[in-house]
Amino acid sequence: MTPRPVTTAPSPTTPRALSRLVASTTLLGALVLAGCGTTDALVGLHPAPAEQTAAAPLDTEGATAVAARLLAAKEATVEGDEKAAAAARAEVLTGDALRVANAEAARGATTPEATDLAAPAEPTIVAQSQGRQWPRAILASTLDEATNTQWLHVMVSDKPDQPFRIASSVPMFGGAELPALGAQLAGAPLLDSGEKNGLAASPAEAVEAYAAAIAQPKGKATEVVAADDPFATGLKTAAAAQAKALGKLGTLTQAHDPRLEDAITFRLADGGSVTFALMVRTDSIAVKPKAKELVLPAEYAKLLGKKRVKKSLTLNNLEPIALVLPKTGKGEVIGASDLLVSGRGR
Amino acid sequence: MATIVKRVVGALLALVGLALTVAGVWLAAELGSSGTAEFTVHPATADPVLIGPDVLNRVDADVVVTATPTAGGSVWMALANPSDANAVVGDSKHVAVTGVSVRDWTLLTTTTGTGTAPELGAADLWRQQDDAKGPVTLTVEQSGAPETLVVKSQAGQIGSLTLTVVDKSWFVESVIAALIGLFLLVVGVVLVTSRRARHPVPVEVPPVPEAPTGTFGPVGAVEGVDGHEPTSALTGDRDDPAVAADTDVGTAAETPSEAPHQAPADSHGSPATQQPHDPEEVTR
Repeated sequence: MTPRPVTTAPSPTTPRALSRLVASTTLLGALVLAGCGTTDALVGLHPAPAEQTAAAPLDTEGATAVAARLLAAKEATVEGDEKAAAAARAEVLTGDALRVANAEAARGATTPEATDLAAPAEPTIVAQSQGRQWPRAILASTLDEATNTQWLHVMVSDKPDQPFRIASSVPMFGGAELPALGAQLAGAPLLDSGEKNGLAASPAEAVEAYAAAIAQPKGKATEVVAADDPFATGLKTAAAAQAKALGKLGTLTQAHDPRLEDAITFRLADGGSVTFALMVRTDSIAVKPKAKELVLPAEYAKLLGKKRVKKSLTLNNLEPIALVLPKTGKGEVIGASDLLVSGRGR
Repeated sequence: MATIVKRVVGALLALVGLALTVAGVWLAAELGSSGTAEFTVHPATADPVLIGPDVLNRVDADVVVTATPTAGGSVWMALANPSDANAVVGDSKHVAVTGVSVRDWTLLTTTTGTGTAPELGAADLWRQQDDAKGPVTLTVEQSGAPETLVVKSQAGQIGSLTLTVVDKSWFVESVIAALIGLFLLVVGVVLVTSRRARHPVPVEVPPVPEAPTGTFGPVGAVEGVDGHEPTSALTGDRDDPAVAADTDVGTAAETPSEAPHQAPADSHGSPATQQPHDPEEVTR
């Protein structure tokens, strides 16, 4: 009396089931294919960031280390003969700075020895050249606490495998200001000193105009650059005093010869420029017939190796200068120094 | 057709799952719980070796590079901007690390250029540098990216160069990949091995309640077997073939035309057919 089981047929394959299978296959395929492209993202891999080439080549820390190393090496005492000293200078200096240092060494001038207690001047990076090309430059400043003088140092690397060397060191005038050169890490473009670079005159023309303007006894007036800075005023005053001292015994002339082959120009943030260049000043004293001879001061006598001259006296000075050329208006020299390096007397 | 597709999908899932499981387990074992990936190459060269940003700066973690010179040698290592490193090495002969191979945990390299490299250490373009007699290690932090690392032997040759990256998430991801692979493998195997029944699967239905014994009900109840009228409650003997035929719903549904033939045939064999009756009354 057990009831017979009742059988039911399974539902036949419907379009719905088939579509599920197709969808599953499609999803699986999509996952596999997508997986190939997203593997990197899944494990945290990403493309390397692109290099920002329009920036300063070194970070501030690196540039400061370079500047500190060079300034310390410049002040370091070199043991050995003159040849070794010259080689040591050439490892640290280049361009105008090397010329000044070699002239100083040839003259026998001595720099004050640094004491162990004197802390080396800590450089502050003012700017770096912009971009990845060579030459590259670093502009640093130091404060000479003994004289309360701010110095500007330009350091240059000419080729990839060559280290930076100091190319120019210029003391700033009291109260002088160097306009901003822009964000330090962005870098300041290095300019060709012979090109106008959007300015009224090229930096080279400005230096030449300045050299002509401060000549003595009468300079050539210029609208490019002012000639009333402390350096120019000092030269003018000294020349007037010397001329007065000579009186009818002789005549004094001063000429400044720009040496621009190693000039370095940075672009300022406002579109102007700052140029570090060298001038060679020649002081010429012609002894008048009325004078029997001229007795030289001890400094000149030591340089020339004689105490008197009968016909003429020629003294050569090296003058590193820093000249700011604004976008509009007159340029001005913000720092300069001079060093008597050689002379000749007859 | 659907079964074939299902099996193909299952096979694919199983294969993908198996591959994922094996790869995940292998990676987890190689990386360790710390997630440390270490790639090594033995350049055996005195020329500079460059590791560019495409190798150093593609991860967020720090990359530690260790250079070991050959016995008694010394090695120098430094970091620089990629363009600076390329400029200072120039066209001189050097070995460039182009990538890594996870399969054998090696650094992929290629040698290019001709001539001897210049003195690299003198240049002022290195962000970080170190040298020593023996192994030198330098850590590349991603905050300075992009960077290129330059390695050069100062004495002897570069015996080995090892690049190490630690990322704990890699171990976790490897384990997850293995688990996902295992799941896919199981699903795939189930899909492949499941069979579709060729015959209807018997389904048990609740037994029909016992009806009280007695005589058949009205003749009208028999009329339901023709499929045109609703079947009334059974009141007759359950062993009666006619009744059994009536309750076989599946058969009735599949072969509705048989019902009218069976009902009269069975009715002749039943006790009820032995009772004289009016044929016209049955069909009414």
